[in-house]
Amino acid sequence: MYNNFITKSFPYILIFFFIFFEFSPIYFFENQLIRPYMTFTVVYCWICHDFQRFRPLSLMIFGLFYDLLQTEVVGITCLFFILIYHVQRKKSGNLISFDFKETWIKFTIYLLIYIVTSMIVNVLFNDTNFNFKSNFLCFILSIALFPLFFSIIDKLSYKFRGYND
Amino acid sequence: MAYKASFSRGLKSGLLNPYGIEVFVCVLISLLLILASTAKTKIFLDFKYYVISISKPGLILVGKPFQFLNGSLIYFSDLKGAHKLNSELISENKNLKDEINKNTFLRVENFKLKKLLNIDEADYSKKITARILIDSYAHENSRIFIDVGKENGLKVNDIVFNEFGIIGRIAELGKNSSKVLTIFDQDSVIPAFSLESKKSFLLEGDVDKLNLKHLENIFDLKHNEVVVTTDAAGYFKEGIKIGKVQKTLNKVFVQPFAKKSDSIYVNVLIYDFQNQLSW
Repeated sequence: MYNNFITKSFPYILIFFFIFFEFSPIYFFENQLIRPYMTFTVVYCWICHDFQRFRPLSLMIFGLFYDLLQTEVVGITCLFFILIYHVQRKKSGNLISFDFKETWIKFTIYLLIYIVTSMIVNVLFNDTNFNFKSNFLCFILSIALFPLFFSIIDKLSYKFRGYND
Repeated sequence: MAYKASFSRGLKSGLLNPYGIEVFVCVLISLLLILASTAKTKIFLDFKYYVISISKPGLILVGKPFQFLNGSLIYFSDLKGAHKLNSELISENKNLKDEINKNTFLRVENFKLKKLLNIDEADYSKKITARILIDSYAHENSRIFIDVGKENGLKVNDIVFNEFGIIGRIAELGKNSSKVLTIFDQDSVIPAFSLESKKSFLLEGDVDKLNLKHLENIFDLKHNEVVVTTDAAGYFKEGIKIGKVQKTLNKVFVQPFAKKSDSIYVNVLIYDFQNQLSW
């Protein structure tokens, strides 16, 4: 029972850990940091590999928590997580392809749409100065790190699926 | 054969299934959150503050390794530059040692020269801080009383300063108090010298400014030039800054540096002229 609880809650703990991991440097360093969208990447990868582990409600909570720590306008990330989840669920395997390059390109497109939407909403509704340079670097860094996260989550999801079985 | 309830069957069909409803509710909540956050409602801001406050320990905990790593990197970076820093400090140390040697040599030389001239070391001046007992600035005679007197070593004509500059001189002495004749007083006359136009004259107090006396052409003075004391009267040390010359169309006067102040403390500069003159 204890193991079952751990295996079921592990993805949630991991995602919460990544949210903290992504934002903790902000609390220690005064300068604006270049930080990749790690949480978005991890959630995306996990949905790609094993979307059944999540429910829309849990994704909404992740997104809500992420937005509350990150930005003034809350709710965009929730919508994106639910959208990705819905796309993967309805057209099973749509996000993931045999050719990894295709998966990578899809991730790039989703991330780009997410960043642009977030930017537009923040600029329109919140008069926030959007730093193009740092956000572009974050975007590039996220894309560059995607294969690493993808393979890690692949292994983890495979392992935990095995435990479940 | 059992049939499901029609409501349950309705939920499963099309968009009205549990998943559809859950997604719909989540999207609705997300949209409401976007609206609330853009409107910056108080409830939302309180909620955000609450969430951040709760998550702060988590952020600190997760960030500890970062902090440790960063600290270690800074330490190693400093260590890398330690050799260079050490070389710089050795060089600086060497220069300072040379300076000390030079100073020691000068002190020895000074001592020898003093011996040769037969000069005894003596402090010719000292500064005493005093408190104003009666604030005088409001009075016409512009005199103030301070809480130091003969017992503190004060003498008549010792100079009194406030935080802006020379304010006056000791006019009368008591045992533990003294009367100060301020430079604004009409009875106050200070021998002065203008630094740029090189003119000697007297300055007489006039409520908030100083009038020039015994100067043939007062318009020879330059606007804003500094005026200092001379030792012509015998009770002022020369070179103490008094104020600046102010020229108008038909008037020339000196605006003292020492303005009317709210401070209740002044300094008294005590000169030992006799000692000085015995050189």
